[in-house]
Amino acid sequence: MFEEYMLDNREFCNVRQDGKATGFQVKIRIPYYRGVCLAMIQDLRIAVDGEAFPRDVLKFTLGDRTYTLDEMKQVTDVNWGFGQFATLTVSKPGGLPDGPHSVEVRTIVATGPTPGPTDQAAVESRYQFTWSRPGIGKVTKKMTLVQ
Amino acid sequence: MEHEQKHGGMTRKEFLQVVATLAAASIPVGTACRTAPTSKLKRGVSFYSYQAMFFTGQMSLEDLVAEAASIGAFHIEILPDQNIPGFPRISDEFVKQWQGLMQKYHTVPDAYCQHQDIFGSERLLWDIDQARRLGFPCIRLMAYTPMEMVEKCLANAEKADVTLVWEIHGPNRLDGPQVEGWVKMMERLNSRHLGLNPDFSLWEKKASPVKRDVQIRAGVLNEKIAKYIDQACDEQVPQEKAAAEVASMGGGEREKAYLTSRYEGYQDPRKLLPLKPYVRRFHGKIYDMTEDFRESSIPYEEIVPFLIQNGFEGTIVTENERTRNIMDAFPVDEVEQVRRHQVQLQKLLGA
Repeated sequence: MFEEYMLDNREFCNVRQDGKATGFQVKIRIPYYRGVCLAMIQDLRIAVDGEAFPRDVLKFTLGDRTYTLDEMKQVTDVNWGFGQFATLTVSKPGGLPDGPHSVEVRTIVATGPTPGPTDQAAVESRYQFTWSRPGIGKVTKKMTLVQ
Repeated sequence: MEHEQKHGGMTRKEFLQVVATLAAASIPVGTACRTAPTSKLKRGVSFYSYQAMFFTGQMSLEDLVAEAASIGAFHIEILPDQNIPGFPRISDEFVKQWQGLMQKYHTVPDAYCQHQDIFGSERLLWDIDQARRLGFPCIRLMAYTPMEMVEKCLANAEKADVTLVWEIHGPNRLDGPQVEGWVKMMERLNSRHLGLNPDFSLWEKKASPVKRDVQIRAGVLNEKIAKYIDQACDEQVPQEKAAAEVASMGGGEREKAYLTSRYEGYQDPRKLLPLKPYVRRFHGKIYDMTEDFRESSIPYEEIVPFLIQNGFEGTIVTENERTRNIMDAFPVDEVEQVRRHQVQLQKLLGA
């Protein structure tokens, strides 16, 4: 749920260090009916124009704090708030070329009393019928990057 | 917050209510019978109902409180992890802001919804304290909150004067093993700080096209079969016969589950009577409020008079469950849907 709001094209841009593009960022919101602590973000993935990025090149920023996906697993006292924008930054030397891109983001919020499945096939199957499990979201958007 | 003076384990308000009840009981039976029972149920709204408005920033917390007050839904339920910015930190400044909103709009905190997530009793103890800080008399527990955990936290709830209530939500059964377990525990502990929170999803009598169609759009349910199930259920075709027909039409597990949910979606409200001592409040579930103030699938016009006749007390808070069922395909209409439900409740409750 809230998938249509999950990925926003605002501030979609390359990030630079010493004048060189080192990656890009997108703004995302939680596809759930409430906020949860970062440790409950069980899966977070991004692909651009069909290119999927491994989790170790992703960083998640809330306010002035930035976390790797592994660090997020340990954070139980900070919530990704309901409706709150987070910035997902992807390391990619050279960044993305300007112009239109197809961006896909997927998130699973682990909710309820039992931990969700961790093996890949089970995770994939969870994305199948997102209506039945709020907290699971996948969305693809055409977004234009401006240099 | 100052606690009210106690009279033999009762607050002053409860004491006066008992006195009033005893006085009423002395009225000759014939006189009493000519008087229609008055409702002791009060109207409220859960801010869950306005989730898309709040998520997108179209309505602020103050906007939600103001809207609730403007429709007479003065008893407020919140989801702290939805409605409190910065949760799980709740600053003294926020507490002041919240109290200010309640005073400004003459609204009353009714329930604080707790989610177990991964925290266990430590978080429940913390939530009890937050509910107390914000003036909530009640914490709504998810059905899966373990009984041992609740028992462990009960002393704190009593000290904070916060009542912990388990939600009974369809398809859970009013006479099923989980509810029975809760009742046994409540009988044993004999605490007025434990209770139950039935949800009107226990009384889904007719088809809810809104709930059905989202599953059709998602490719979960076969449209033809789902519509046959609704028709068969409405025409009271025996369940086994309908199940056989669904199988012959090629229905799978999901269609079977839909058939069960339709045939068993309505429970006899009389099953609520043995639970009456424990019922503190209700979730007034809505999926689809019509322009003439009826819920398409739930017969409020039958259930609410039943509750009044039987002297149920507490609040009925509107819980709009429409958003998640329509937002993939239709614009959300949360404020209007809640308004229609409040008109219906106002008519049925007489206030």
